[in-house]
Amino acid sequence: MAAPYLKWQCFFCGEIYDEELGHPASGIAPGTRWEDVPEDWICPGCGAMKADFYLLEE
Amino acid sequence: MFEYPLVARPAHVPPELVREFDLFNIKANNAEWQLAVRDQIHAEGMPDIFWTPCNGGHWVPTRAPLIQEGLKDATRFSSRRITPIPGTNPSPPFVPLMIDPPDHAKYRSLIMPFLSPKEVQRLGEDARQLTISLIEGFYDKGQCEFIEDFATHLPIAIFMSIVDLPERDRLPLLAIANTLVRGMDLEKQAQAREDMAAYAMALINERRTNPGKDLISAAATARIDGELLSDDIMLGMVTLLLTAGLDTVASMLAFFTRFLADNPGHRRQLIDNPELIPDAVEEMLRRFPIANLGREVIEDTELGGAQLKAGDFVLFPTVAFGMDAKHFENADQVDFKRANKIHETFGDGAHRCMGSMLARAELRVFLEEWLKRIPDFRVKPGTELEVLNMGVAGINYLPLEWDVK
Repeated sequence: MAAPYLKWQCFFCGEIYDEELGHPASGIAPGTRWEDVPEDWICPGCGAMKADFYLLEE
Repeated sequence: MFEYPLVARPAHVPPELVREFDLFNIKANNAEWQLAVRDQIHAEGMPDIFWTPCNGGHWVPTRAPLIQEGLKDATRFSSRRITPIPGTNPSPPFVPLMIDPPDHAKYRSLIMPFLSPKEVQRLGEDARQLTISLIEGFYDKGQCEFIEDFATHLPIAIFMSIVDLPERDRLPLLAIANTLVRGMDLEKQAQAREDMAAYAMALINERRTNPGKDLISAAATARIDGELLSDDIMLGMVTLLLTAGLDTVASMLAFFTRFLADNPGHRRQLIDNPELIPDAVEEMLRRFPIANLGREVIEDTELGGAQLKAGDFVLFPTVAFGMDAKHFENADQVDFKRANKIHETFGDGAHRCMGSMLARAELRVFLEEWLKRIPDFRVKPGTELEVLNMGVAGINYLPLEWDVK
């Protein structure tokens, strides 16, 4: 069984990256796992770096 | 008015890149400071980066890509010096703002849990309650002096909550805050900074003895590389927390409010569509940047085609990013539905503002609650607004009035 999709949140603006939804507007397909998001991807909300996202625990 | 004698052009600065530009003395009509700066740095014939003999002599990048390049790169541009004028660098240094990577991360990680998205949600609700009670306190008068009656209260209350301060400390802190925010009397400012340092040191010592769950207690009991934090590091951290969240938020609130007071169409748009408020916050952050971020060149390097020498100082005005018409279409217009929202108002790279999400929450809550209660308001007729700028641009006096219903 596939691992559940996770959500990651930008520390600086609160933008949420949901693995299930991806971020098609910035070229990240739905279902893209966080580790597969390119390292040079920037937060669509504020321009912060991928490293500035934290795993959101629900 | 603060004036520092002009300095001589260093040999490595070509004469064609010299412009006499004093960022700390920009005359602005009706508090349109960002427009006034834009008019100078983006005037016909201005290079993308120039050197000015004002304020101790420093470089000024004027276009969005250079602002971003410099702020992102802590390996070429150090934060150990953040002000261009000799003798004005904060002492002890602000922590972690004036500490370069990798060491800065050790201190930053101490503060981060207290400014996390979850904490911000709680603090934002505290800010909402305070916003409502402040507005209700002066609404019936039909007027207020926005800075002293409102803008400085919010960040002080937030700081008090993060570091768990007793209510009795509110008034003395507000007095210090108002002096720091109002700022161009250097003597009074120095006194306020001393008062703040004395207050902070007493607080640090108290939390070392009786630690609680607040940020200062966490820092007072933390060990970094096996050592407790020194007095200077602790003081640098507490003064940064207090000052960084203070004049910045107060100033942003004032620029937002001055704009909305003069633009009923934009006010109406937010009253009719409150769901636009988060986008409006972002757009006004882009349009009204206030911070001038200073860096020292670590080793000889190139920026925008200019040759910079180790020890040179670079002042990155974040307004140069937000107002760059090559980067933002109709950059001088406020458009709450603008598609490209990403700005550099909170800086970038390793030192990107840790309180940015908290600031956004304070600004959002302010718009939501103010516009519900005072949808129509104006700057008191006949007022000549003045913008003061040293590190952070701010409106020091903003009298508002409205019709009580």
